[in-house]
Amino acid sequence: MRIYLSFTIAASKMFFRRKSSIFWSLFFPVVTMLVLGNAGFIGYSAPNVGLFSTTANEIIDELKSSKSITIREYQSKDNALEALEKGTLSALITLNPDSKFIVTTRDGDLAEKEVVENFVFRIINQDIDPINNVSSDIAKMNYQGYKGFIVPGIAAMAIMQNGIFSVVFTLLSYKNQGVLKRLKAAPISPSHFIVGHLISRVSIIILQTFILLIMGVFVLGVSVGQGSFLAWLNILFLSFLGGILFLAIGLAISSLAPNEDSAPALANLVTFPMLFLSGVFFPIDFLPKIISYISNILPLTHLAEGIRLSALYGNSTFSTIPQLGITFAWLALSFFICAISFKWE
Amino acid sequence: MEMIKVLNLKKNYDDFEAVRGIDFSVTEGEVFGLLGPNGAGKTTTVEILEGLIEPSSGTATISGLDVVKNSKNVKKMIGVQLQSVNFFEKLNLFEIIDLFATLYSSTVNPDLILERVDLKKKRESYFKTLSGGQKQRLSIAVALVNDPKVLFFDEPTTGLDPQARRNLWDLIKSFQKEGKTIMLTTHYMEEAEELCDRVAIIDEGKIIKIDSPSNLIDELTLSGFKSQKKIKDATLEDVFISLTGKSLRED
Repeated sequence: MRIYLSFTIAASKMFFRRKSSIFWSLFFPVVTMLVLGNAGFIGYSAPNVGLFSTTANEIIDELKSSKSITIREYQSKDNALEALEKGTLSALITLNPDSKFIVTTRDGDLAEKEVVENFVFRIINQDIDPINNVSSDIAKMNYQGYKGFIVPGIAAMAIMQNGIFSVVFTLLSYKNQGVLKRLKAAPISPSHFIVGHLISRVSIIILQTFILLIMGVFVLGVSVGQGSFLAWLNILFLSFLGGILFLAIGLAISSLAPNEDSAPALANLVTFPMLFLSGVFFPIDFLPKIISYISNILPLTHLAEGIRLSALYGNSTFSTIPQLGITFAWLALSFFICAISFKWE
Repeated sequence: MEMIKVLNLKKNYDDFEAVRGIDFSVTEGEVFGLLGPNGAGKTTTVEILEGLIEPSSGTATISGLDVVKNSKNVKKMIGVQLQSVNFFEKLNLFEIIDLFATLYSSTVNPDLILERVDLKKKRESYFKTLSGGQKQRLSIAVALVNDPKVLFFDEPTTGLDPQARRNLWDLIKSFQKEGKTIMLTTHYMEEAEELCDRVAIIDEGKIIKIDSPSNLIDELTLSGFKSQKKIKDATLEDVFISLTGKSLRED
């Protein structure tokens, strides 16, 4: 027990004494988050308008063929409203059986309301009287714009980067310098060193997640957790789980890499696609189908989604079971690879 | 008493035979040297004894304990200085000794160990800021945390200046005075002559000869060997030391 503790303390001291580790795990994600959060990409909320219809109507085809606005058709009104709340839609057009339109926009999004209403008027005004057939509906929603999207996204990204790279680079340098070999000459088992290192890194990852979210609250004005203590607890659980998962992936990468030059390359090969396909910087809802299959098996997708649900909607359920299942499958795979191929030298 | 005993020890790497069946024993309190050219199998032999690699066949025991079957207990009673080793970059010397003391379940005061190897002043420094001689002394300090019965030194003075080398010799002699058994590998014959009670000359994985340095020299001269060089009363190293002094330059 004392040995685990000593390794944990030593690994933590070394982390905080290394300027580059502070830069990459704290400074860099904080700056990225603040810059992107303040930029508030307008394009993010403009292009997609949802359509929910319970009747067949030729106007629907007309709406869908429009080039000025991208129409996404939904089979369920709840799904469509959820997409509106998440920000993947900027407005929702509902066509009722009586051929009346309702344009739903979020509370406060006056520009979207006007644009989409005008659009609907323009499409239908040749045939029917717009005033009596189009009504608007303001939905009160906790939508926080792009900054609300990017804060949990960057927090998830930072968990992945810190988890993978802190293992790949530190283990690699210890290995190259012969530090691990000297440890092997001591009467301890390898697990002492590895576990101590992992405990230290997981604690740092949790700390980093909370620093990022709290910066999001105070600097960007994003509301996180929605006053739910359980939501924060869930974020704690998710950053712990995500930390363990990506540390294990980092360990697997360092075990699999044939030599010292290939390990960082392999780590980049693993992390780079996830940065873009896991909903860190932009939503994955409308990715082409084949890519969305890939997105859905990537662990970062589920981590980012889980943190986002807790942060923005106060969701306290430990994400959904299939998502956790995928995370645990990756975890098991990584530990399996480490167990069969970890080398001291 | 035989402290180290090696019987028909072999180590193969794929189709390369690094160690081809060697036998030797080291008595308690002895300084035993392994001499040989690069690739002769010195480090492989030492690392088998240290429990870092497993032999392909044969046995090795330290104080009666098998180094493979009883690896953990062997590691507890030996002190190890590896060839070209590094320590954690961002820990200071005190913290490094303290960490290793924990690994050996030892309650030794790190400052006393650092004082022993003349590194007390450097207790707050990081490993990478040390000179070559200081790094070797730290490596030896780490080997002392468990007050070992047997010490292994793998090329401890390679790359050091004459002052630092002599300083390390004095340190190794002081361990011998305490009754520790020492096994040492080196390329430097004058070092073996200065420190070792007996040496084994090893080449291509086999021991060619084991005896004390003076017996080995006598044997060669009795066979009619004459040195090409006229042996003078002093060496160039003596000149160097007398001109530059014995004190260490790095501190």
